[in-house]
Amino acid sequence: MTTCEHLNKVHAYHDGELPEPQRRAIEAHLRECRACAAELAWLERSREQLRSVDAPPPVFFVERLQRRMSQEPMRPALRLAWSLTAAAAAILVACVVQLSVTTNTHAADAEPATWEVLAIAPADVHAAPGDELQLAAWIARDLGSQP
Amino acid sequence: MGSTDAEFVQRSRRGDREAFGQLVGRHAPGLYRLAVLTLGNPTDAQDVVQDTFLSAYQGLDRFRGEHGDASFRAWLVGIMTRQIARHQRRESYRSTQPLDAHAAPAQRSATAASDARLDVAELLSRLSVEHRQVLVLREIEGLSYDQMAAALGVPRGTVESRLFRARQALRAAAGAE
Repeated sequence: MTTCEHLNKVHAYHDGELPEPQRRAIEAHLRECRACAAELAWLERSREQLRSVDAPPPVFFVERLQRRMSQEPMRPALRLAWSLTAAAAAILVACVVQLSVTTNTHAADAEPATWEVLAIAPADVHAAPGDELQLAAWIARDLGSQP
Repeated sequence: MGSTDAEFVQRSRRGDREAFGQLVGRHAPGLYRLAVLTLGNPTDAQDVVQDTFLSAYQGLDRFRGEHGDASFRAWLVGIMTRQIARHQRRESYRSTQPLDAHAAPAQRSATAASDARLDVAELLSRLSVEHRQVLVLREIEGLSYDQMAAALGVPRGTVESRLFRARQALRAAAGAE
């Protein structure tokens, strides 16, 4: 079989993959090389035959496929978008509820505890007459009991 | 005037399942043809095409659409190429499955044209799946070398050499007739 070193370029030429300078060079070569010209003719025939091979899908294949796709679960990206929207709405509702509860709690806590009043306002408490001797006795007893 | 692939893709992304159904109707027959000529088995071809559209539907957000309608078809072919590779690994597919089940509807015709189609289908069946795949992608789907490289996940040089050897194998099979 007659071959030529330019055969692979003939294939690329046939596929339209040669840049302009190389394309012109091969066209000039094809006018002089019978082996390459025969190769190009064979490539064109085989392409025509391959393209003529008919292979239709089975009857109702496309319809079955369309039906199958219509039953496919929601795409992950769309599912995520819906989930985020639902989560945002739930958070918003929770914030509104919490705000409402907090407002009511503060209203109930407006009055301070009795001990707070006593701790910050002891000035009104006075000892009765005679209590000083009793008080001194208690202090002495306490001091005596300390280690 | 019909909607473009890009318009159907946009609608599909927003949850319009009917729009995706239109894409299936438009591209499934062509993808099936590529698959059955590559794999040589109608059942396997149907499985691969279905898996291709399932994968495309779930991954619609990854489609960039930079080159108009041809891009969506090329994207589908890329997905199907990977599905075929997965199928091959799963099934340990043998390379000599006959193609005559769906190669030419007019199998009983006596005309030279249908005889030629049968011959080519028969010749294809003698090639490896790898060789059939590059021939189908180039000669029938019309992908460029760069598009084939992207679809197959191999360098452009590999595409060129694989295609060259596939054509030599096809010629050798024809010469053996």
